[in-house]
Amino acid sequence: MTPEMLLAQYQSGNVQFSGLNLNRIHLPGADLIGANFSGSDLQGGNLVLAFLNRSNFNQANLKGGLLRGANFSQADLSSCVFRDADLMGSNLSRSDLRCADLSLSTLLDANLSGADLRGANLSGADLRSSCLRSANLREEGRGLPGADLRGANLQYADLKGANLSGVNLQRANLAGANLCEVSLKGANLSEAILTGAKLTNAFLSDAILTGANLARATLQDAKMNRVDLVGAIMTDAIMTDATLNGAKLAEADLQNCKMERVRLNKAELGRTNLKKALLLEANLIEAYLGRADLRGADLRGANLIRAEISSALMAGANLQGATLPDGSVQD
Amino acid sequence: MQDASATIARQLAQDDQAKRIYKLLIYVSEGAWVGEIAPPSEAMMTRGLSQVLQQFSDYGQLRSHLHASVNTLSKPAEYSEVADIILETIAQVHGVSGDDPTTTFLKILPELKLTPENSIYTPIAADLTPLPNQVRLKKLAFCVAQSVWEGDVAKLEAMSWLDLTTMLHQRYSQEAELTQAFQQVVSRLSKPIEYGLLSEILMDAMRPLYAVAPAETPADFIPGSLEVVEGTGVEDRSVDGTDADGQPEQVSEADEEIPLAYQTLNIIPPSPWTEGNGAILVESIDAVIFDLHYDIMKQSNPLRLKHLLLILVNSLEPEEAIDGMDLRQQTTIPLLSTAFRLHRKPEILAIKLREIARKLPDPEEYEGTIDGILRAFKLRTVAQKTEAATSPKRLPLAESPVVTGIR
Repeated sequence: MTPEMLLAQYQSGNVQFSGLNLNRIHLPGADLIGANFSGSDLQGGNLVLAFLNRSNFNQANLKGGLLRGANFSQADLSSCVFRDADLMGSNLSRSDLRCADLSLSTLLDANLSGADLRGANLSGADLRSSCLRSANLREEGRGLPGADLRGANLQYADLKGANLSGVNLQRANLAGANLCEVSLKGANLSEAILTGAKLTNAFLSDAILTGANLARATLQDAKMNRVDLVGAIMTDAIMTDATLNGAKLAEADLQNCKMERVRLNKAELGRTNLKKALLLEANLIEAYLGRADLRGADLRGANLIRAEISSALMAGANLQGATLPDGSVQD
Repeated sequence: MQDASATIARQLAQDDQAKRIYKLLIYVSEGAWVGEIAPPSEAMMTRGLSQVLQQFSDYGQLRSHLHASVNTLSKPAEYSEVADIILETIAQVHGVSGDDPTTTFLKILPELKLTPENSIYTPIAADLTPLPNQVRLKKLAFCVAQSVWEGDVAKLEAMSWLDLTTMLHQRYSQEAELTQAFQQVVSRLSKPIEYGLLSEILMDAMRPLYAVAPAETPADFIPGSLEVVEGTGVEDRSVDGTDADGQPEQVSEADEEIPLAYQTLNIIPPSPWTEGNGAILVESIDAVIFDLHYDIMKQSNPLRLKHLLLILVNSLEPEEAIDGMDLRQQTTIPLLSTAFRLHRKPEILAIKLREIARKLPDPEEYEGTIDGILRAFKLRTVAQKTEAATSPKRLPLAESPVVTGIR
């Protein structure tokens, strides 16, 4: 079917184009709102700036398509193949992208707010400056797996309020991203780059962040119980009022970290670098600080009751008013 | 055959689409998109053509790669014509048949050498090659020659001094013009002292060329014209590094040098955010920018938003913003942040955005986006005023009950 025939049929009221071979079809700027392309092969097609709101591309093939600026808002894109497609600046807001294959696609500057991305494959996708506010990428208990974002580039992406529980973000780049109020419970962020990311009020309990780089990240009020941060870089991060009870922070670098009133009860901080960290009124009850480096740290008013600090380096640390492991209060 | 190969370059350089031809040749051979340029000379075209033919051994390969590259651009139809011009010119002049895609370029390549007059660059290149600071020297030379701040060390290392000196000489026919161009670029870098010294080294090396014959200079090329913001006559930004209010610009604190006013130069901003350990440093962007971006997106096409911001922030020609690599190299959030930092007067911003939209295809399609930007602009102004009126005076960090400066 030629583009002209398709557009003529659409204008005459036919919206059913499912199961067709539309390989490399050229329809830039076309108005095809509500059209049904389910199961069709549109591989390598050109739909730049096309209007495809509320359309149906369920199980369609758009592999390698040129789809810049296309409007897919509220479209059914479930199980659609977008591998290698160029979706730069496209509008995918509130679309159904469950189990879609978006691997290696270009989604930079795209609007994915409110999209359902459960089970979607976004590995290696370019999502820089994309908007994923309130998007759902989470892993379902028995049904859909979490979205696969391994190695994806999410620099400056806006994920505020998105649900990323159980998602695989291994080695992803989230530098400068907005992750405020995001749910990352149980997510795999090992070796991810989160430098300068905003994680205020984020929920990171049970997440895996081994070897991740969180330098200069903002984690105020973040909930990070039992999080695995072994070997993570967190220099100059801001973690005021964050909760990290039972967290694993062995060999992590928290130099110059701002951690006032942080809760680190029962946390593992063996060999952790806490040089010049600001731990004012921090709770470190029963924390393990074996061979931790606390030189120059500010621990005024901190609670270290039953904490293991005997082998920690404490030269220059300020413990004024702190409750020491034996329950005594430092003058 | 010497005449034949020269004919290709000459025909391509004289074609109405010469600029696009040159851009496409460079895009195909180097993967980089050239910004706004003066009409390319025959020598530039020869070099571009040579690079392409060295990579593709036969006509069929070249044809398929050209068309594949064209499909990655946002104006595939226009550039498809450009690709056809290139292919047809080669086919006509060399008798290569499109029906026989296996026809090789082996016979053509040896003839696509620089013209004999370019041999005057050889001793200059030889002088520059052993000097220390090669990457910075090349970075500066390339920026002055092509108005592109190339941050890719591998690419810089691969550049030859023969090409760089040729490009510089062909672009700046007078010594004074080259001196002025160096000064303009150096003054916009965050390490002007270091680059000032390097520019002197380059000028010393180039000086003998200006005692010889002047290089070809396109008639319509005005030195320094790339720095001039065109159009509205109501610019709120001068080119001397100050904004409309006469306040100095923000200087990047990143280790890597950044042209201070790349917004007014047609220069792709560098990517200075990589630390030595491979981690990524990022510009700190205020959380409110994300909120405003989200608000704008509710009524805007994200691609059209990007077009407007890219042109506004970098003073690009509309065609440059819509085509090619700039769209991938810069992303909306940092562009929006820069736009808000640079533009403080909504009425002037509105005029500028509408002026830009008028030059774009389907200008009426940008109205919603412009309204969204202006509304966001006003919201930000209100938010700033409210914050200023309500927030307590900040205490120094050591005295503050809560850490300040959090974004």
